[in-house]
Amino acid sequence: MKEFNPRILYLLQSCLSYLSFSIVAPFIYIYVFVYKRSTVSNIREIRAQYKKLIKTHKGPLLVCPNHLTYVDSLILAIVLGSYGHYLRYYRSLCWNLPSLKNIRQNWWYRVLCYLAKCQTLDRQSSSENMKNTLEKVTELLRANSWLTIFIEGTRSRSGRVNPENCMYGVGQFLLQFPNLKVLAVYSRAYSQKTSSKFPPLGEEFYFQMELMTPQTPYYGMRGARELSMQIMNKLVEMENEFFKN
Amino acid sequence: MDRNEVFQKVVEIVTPFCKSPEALKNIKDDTRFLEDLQINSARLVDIILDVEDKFNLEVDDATADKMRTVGDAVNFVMSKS
Repeated sequence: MKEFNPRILYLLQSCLSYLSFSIVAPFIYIYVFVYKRSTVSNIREIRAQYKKLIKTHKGPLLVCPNHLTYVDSLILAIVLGSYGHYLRYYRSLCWNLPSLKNIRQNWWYRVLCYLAKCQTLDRQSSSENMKNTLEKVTELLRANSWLTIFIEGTRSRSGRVNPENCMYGVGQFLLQFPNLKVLAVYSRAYSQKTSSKFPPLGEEFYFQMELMTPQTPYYGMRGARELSMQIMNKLVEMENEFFKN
Repeated sequence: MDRNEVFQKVVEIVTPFCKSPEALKNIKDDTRFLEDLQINSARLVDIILDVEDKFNLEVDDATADKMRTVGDAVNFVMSKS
């Protein structure tokens, strides 16, 4: 069977995703911010920073948030940019990398994921799967895409960023793309205590982000660990800031 | 260093990552890191790096991929000494 150039496939997916976004997204924004009245006190600053980033940063970007609910990526996206922002700068709507395990059973989820700019990954621990994952992500980064990756790999059951869950795969991407920028994002609803399926919409959300460029003199597994831990430690630092206030 | 000493040192390395104290009590050569000791797969990298540090050797990716049991790790260290 003829294999298509992955970049063309990603471009096609991105175009279809743009079309569906332009139709569906207003309802999501209205639901979260108008109907449920969720608020983020510094949303203007956050969006201004993000807009500045898409205007000045032409290369790929990894967005690494903490992980508490199933819809963290969605909340993250609608806080980082307005509907108009994404219509203009669709590249800044990050690709997501959900686990194939979560959507394998249901074709409707697959369609939804496809249209929501997702590339599924098989995270079962094998070198073949790891290689496929690396290839997919590498191709996206080569195309200067922006990606959301949860460095904890799974929702934090304790409600706190857990360095013990740190996935070193992120570090491997950083080794492959030296000077790749990372946007560390810490967010949570003020009343959120532990992980849950959905966030408590209708409440105030805390939101902070910081751009970083992790560096290491090491290579291989040690380098990947070092780079991943720099991001993880940044999230821990941001979380400590949240609990201090 | 004899095989028993290497085995004990490998057990010391895996202990902090082990989620099954019961399996740790009965640890043997064929005890599997993921299934028996219930070590988080992401932590296997930590174990391999700790093996490198403790025994002052280098583990390549292909070997790391094949290290599934305590015995695999011990045999690898023994083969390098």
